[in-house]
Amino acid sequence: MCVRLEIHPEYSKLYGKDESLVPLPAAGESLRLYVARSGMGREEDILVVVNDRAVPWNYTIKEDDRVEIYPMNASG
Amino acid sequence: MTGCWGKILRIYLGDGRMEVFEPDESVYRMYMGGSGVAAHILFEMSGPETEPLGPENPLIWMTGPFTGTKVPTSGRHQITSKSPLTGIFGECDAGGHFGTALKRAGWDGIIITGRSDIPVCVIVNNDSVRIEPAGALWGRDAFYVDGHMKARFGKNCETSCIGQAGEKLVPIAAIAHDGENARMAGRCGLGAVMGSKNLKAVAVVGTKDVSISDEERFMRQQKKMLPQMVGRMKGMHLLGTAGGTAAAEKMGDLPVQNWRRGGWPDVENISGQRMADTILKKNYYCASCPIGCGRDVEITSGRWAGVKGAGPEYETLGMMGGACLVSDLEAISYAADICNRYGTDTIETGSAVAMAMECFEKGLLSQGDLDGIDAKWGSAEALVSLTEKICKAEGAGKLLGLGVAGMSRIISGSEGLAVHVKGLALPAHDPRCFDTMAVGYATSNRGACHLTSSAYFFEKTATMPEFGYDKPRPRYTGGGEGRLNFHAQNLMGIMDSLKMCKFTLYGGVGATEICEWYAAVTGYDIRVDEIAAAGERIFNLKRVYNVRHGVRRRDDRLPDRIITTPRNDVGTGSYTPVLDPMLDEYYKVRGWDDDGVPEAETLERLGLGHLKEYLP
Repeated sequence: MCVRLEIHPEYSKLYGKDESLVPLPAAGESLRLYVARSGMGREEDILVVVNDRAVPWNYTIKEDDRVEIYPMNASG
Repeated sequence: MTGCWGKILRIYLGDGRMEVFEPDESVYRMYMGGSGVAAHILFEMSGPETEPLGPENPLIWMTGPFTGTKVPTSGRHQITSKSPLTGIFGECDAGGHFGTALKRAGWDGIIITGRSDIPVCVIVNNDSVRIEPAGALWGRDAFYVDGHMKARFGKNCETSCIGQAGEKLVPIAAIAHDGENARMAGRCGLGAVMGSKNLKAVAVVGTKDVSISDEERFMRQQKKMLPQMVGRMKGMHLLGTAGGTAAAEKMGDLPVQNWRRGGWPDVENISGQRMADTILKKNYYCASCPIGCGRDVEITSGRWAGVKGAGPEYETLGMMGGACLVSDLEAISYAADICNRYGTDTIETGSAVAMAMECFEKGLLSQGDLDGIDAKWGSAEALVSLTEKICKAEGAGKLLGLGVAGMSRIISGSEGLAVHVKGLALPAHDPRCFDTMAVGYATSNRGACHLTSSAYFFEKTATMPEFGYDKPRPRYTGGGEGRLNFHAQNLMGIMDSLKMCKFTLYGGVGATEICEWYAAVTGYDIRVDEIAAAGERIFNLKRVYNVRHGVRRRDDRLPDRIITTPRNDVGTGSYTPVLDPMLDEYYKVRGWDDDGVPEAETLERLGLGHLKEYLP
């Protein structure tokens, strides 16, 4: 298995990101490092969901993870 | 018209009289419902001579045309009164299930004046209304009262009540709903108004169907909007408002150490992600909400065990966390739980503790002044202990319970440490980060309120294409802050009046969608310009209320700390807002004079010509 990535249209439309141009996450790297490396956007704009769960930025990506990207759109 | 019953319950607690007040339909058309109609009633029933804690001050619960329907996020109601905290217009928009129950009971609202000689509660069961002694509930917390009412009247009984803080007239007391799920009418100290009337609770059972005008049109709108809203608001569903906490720190939005600096890496310990990973049990949904941003948390072991219910919202994390440098999520949850039980506003409570910590550091308050509490920055123990004292109105809590403006009047040399506008503490959004919030806070009718304009939404991802904002406004654009706030405040006024959660703006809801729902619910087609004019009318009505109370440009200010002290962090650099040019633009767009008073022609244009007699 390899890491799967899905950038949801709500995010790609808002920030103009084409999923096919974004590098895939690698097992063993942290979400924070991946997002920085990928050029996908700013941490504060991104909600990362791994295997249907919201996880902290220091989460280490595993081989069979499914990583989904949404716009953060959460604030008080 | 459908969407409202045309009936408001009036209760005089002094002698127990009750009557049905039936406003003319034109009142609903002009002021829409909720916030607008309540403001109209408050204007008619109170003025500068009204003592906020006097029996004559009306306490008004209002629903809107959308409440009780399936319009997404419409499970909301408004509570309005003259504020004992600020002495001017006061209101709260609360979620949960109370508004829906009230609407389903056949009432658009309740107006309560007078003061009972003994503690009482009001029981509404559809058309049947009675006042009961509430001696056994006096001294009990809000969770107990809600559970008690549900046990007596069934699980569909919804309660609006005060805890012990409201009973003791704590100026930052709140009105609570939904028991341990704690949907609070937090701001402006309206819990103290309720306490001053010796009114412990209003419990409502409503079983009537709320009809709408055009079911087919309504369903078309639902099918179009619901999937989009759910998709765009996944973050809010998974993380709640707390999901924005770490992001806010990065951008420079989160208050840090009583607003005196930026940058706080410990924020990750209190983020929504951390909450989801640790104490979160499940989502909590207000009535008719497809998002479920509410957090239901549980702490079963450790120093802060015993919390079971609403988890801290972003504002709570900002004020009790960042502003106090407390990075213990469980301790913040515990302190917030105390506020929810006893009934105080977590924004004001956290602000008061942060200011006390700074006073302690600077020697303006001693450990003795604080009942022996070692109020050093970051102390979770101090946060919880001081919160308890505020909520119980004990010892130093009597001072902190005055709110930061009240504290600054008593603690010599502390004025610069009190971060508020018009007596209401700043919530956890920094105008040094979102510059439109500068004029938003300065001109909000209830004091420093982030939701009166929600301007920062439109510097993030939300848009208002109907008003020329088809893309989010880049931060620090320079110019246009006044105009953006004009449109945003008008739109928020409409959402508060029809009753709809502002978070839907992140889901792509705007004026066009609101007009469509309005037509489907009420049967009246309405254009965007008409709904915007109604929002403008409502805002001006509240402004004239405040002008009657002496509010002018000098009051439309920002705290010195925000204007003079840069955060010096990555998100904001050295930016500080310069308010005057923003205000000049804002007043011009509003049709107000240079001193912030609405021009007579403005009032005439909005159908408020009858208010001219109140202009100076």
